[in-house]
Amino acid sequence: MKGGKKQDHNREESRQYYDYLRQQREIAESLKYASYIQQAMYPSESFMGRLLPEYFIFHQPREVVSGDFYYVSRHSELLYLAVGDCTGHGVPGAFMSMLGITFLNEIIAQGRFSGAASILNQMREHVMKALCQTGEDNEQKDGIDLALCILDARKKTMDFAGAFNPVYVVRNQQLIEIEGDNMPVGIGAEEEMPFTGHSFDLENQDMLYLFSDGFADQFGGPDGKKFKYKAFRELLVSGSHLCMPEQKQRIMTTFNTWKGNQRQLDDVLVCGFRFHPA
Amino acid sequence: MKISAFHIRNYRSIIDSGKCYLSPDNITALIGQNESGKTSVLEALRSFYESRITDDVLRSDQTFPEITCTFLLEENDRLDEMIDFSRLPAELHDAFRQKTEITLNRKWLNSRKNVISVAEPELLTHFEALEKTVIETDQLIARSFLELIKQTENSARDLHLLETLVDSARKEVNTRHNRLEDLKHIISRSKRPDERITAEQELETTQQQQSDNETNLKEKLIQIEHGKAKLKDLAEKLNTCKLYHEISGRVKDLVEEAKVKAGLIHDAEHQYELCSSEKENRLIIKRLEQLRTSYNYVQEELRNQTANLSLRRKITSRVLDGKDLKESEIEAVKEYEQESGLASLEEMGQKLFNHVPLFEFFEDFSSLLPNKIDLEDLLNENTHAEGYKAARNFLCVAGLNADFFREKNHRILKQKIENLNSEITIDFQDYWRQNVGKNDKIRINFELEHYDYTQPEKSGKPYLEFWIKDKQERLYPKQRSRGVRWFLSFYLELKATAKENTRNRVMLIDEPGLSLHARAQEDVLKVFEDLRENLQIIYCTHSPSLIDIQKLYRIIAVQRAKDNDEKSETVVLDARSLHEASTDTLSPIYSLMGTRLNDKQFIFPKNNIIVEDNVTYYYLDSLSRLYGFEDYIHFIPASGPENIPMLANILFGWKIDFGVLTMDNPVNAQVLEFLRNTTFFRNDDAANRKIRSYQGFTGIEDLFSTIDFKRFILQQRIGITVRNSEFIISNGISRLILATDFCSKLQKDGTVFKEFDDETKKNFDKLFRLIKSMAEPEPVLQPSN
Repeated sequence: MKGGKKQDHNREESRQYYDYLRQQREIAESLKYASYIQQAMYPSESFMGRLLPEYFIFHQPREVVSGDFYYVSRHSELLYLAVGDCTGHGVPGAFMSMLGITFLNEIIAQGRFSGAASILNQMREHVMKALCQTGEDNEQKDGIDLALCILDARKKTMDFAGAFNPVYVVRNQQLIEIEGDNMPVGIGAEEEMPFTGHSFDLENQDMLYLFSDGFADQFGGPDGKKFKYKAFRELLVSGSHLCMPEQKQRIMTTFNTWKGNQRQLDDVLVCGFRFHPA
Repeated sequence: MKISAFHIRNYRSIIDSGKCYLSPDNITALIGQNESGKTSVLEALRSFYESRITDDVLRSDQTFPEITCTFLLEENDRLDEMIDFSRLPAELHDAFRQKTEITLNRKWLNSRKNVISVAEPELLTHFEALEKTVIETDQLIARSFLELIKQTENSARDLHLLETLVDSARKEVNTRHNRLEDLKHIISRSKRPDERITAEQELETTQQQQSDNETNLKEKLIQIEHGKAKLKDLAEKLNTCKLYHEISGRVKDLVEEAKVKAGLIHDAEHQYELCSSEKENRLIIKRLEQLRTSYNYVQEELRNQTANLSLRRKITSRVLDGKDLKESEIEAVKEYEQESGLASLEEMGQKLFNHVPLFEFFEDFSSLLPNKIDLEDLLNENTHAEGYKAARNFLCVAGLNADFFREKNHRILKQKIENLNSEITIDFQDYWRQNVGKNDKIRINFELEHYDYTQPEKSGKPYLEFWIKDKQERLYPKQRSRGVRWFLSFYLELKATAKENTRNRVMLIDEPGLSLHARAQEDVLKVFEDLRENLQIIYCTHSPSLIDIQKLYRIIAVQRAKDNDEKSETVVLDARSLHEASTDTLSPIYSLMGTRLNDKQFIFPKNNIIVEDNVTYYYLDSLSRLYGFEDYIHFIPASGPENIPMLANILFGWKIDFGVLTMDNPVNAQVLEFLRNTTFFRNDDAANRKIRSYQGFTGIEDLFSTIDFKRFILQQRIGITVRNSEFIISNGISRLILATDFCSKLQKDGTVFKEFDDETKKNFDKLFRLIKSMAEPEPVLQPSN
């Protein structure tokens, strides 16, 4: 009887182990499927290629799905480029990023805005509404850090608004940073104030960089320190003259070398575009 | 067709009313003091329709009345069916096809004769051009006639001179010819050589001279031929002109003759009116007949000669242009035939007049409902029977005709009458809201009775008996008050008129409901409202109860040019220029409105902007102060868009400058369109400036950015993804509470305009600029800090 009990116990452990493996596999499959869905939300390469003659996207999620996202669309002769970094990563971040892409699509398609800042204002309302944020103390303060550019290739202008995130413009090996506002797209600590719109004149061959904070915040290197923005800016400026695949390769190599064996802390997204006037 | 405007000239005290527009909703009220000329306006319209005037209408300055009415063409009115387009000048066909209204003018040429004609600008221009051509041709012919006489005299003199010269040249030729013969003779006969030589020399010289003389003579003869031809041409032209002048003189004589004969007829008619004996009457009638025959003959001759003159004018003009007489005659006849095929203004006017609405003058207050009337009088249309008109109207309203009374079965007939009485009473009671005593309402009854032996001459004959009953009493109409009788008769007249719906009708009513209580006068207005779809009503009144304060576009003010001078001319001011009317004239309106509004502190003489509701008022009032509009623009809230017209009417009636501003939504759009058509009478310039909708914003709250809406109005942190106005509705929030809280917050926090975000500031800045364009004079815009 006693031996029989032990045998039963082993059988039970074995069953639980297999259940665990099965669940793991199912979760991995679900995540993989979720990543497909997330991929489908991004613009296709052919679409991007039609809108942007020269671009690269370095997107390295920490997990299967990502809380970082990029957005490209064209309406009424204007090009809309955005890079967002949602609170959290993995599945929660992915949900937020999908919300972000959906809201951007909806707002831009409706066309009831006066510029990039107005889009961010509206997007914040959508996020607050979707997450039922009312500024109560105990509620989730989830939101999106976002940089949004509206390019007018004929007028050679850019309208920019940012929620925490900036845009870098590299012209003749010189970097110009246009800062975003210190508030997220979502509820913040302070009462909502309007986002600030920045109008910027572009020149032919200007390189524009939109990114999340994953790269600069990555620990690594010989001393296990953060990469930091200064080094990140130098990396972008020094490679700005290169063609897009080379820039992407260089950024990717630098990141992975810096990370080394360290764990990737956050999703990483760096997008670069070279401006060509119409 | 529907009358839309009138223009009266030289009619009693009215010298020139200007073009006065009637209310577009078919009810027009003429207001003004006694002796101001209100009734004259009604009578002038009646004269236009009936084409008659009385002597008292004529002004002492010997001018004759001229009344012009404009008629709107309705959906079924087709001009090409009313007039023959082939008789219109071809170049005007398109213009006439596109016409939406038509203007007719009736002008009196003397106290009796008048003509109705079309007064459409294109046609008038066309006929004026023709008339101008006639005048210019007449002047040309007159000038040419004198010149031709002079030229003919000169030519005749020149010809005579030429003939004298030819005679002397001929004589000289003959003399030289004789001398040449003599010289030849000497040369052939002379034996003296020196004599022969001398003769030969002289012969040579003389031959040369003779040749010159002959050439000269030939030239002169040719000149004579030319002179004769010219003289012939001049004579032909002269004769043509002379003939024209003769016919022209004949026409003038005939016109004078016609005038004299018309005067004689007039005198004879006057004598006829004065004479008392039958014998004298017969004599005058005989004389009148002779005069009329003679007059008609003159008129006929005048028509013929006028036509002849027109033709001769064309021929003469061509002959004077140098064309051959025969050729000119052929061409002129052709042109004349074409022109005479065109209808005259009068012919067209008469054709169109046949389609204008029927004008009826409701003045016969004595034609009240009788106690009874013989059926025979009714069926035989005996208009002299007492109460005939009212009784006829009664039958018409009841839908009765002779067949109804042929019903043999007395019981069935009685039952039918009872049913009809009940129907008419219900309909009448719908309009007559007065109670008799406390609760009783009056009822109308008619009954078919037969005379009995007490009236042997009518014994057995049917008659209709009328009753006006209440619970207490059954009384004959004559036993009721004059007010009840009047209203009943008036009700029957209007109902009957509307029922006989063969053509549109215009009812002209002088002082309706004069003897009615104010409540009953309001009932009169109710009857008007009920019938206005089928009937145009123009009435004079002093009574505020007969004016709808919400519909001041129905008012036409009539007053004397000089206050307190009843001999000064009458001025007619339609609703567009009502503000120019005197306070006394507008007193019925003011009676309705109470005290003068601009004596109050909340309404100012200028720059009042009516907004749709209190909420809009709160936001605009508080923000306009921040913007720097304080003491410049005065917002007046209506209690909902549907009440804007009433407020507009009140300000309009008090001559207070105002504009209307609404947000952009379908309900407001309807209100603004209504105002455009009524208060602003489709005056696009004024309406475009004074009636404005702020495009793109359905509610005033939408002018705030979402952030400002949450911060200043909602005062809550919440995600809003719809328009602010939609958010308020979908969450069931009180707009008024939000607006008042907003005002309190602004005051409490001492908020300034620049604290709002760019989107809000931009929207309000645009709105205030719009408001500024509605007001005047322009201030310097200076947002406060």
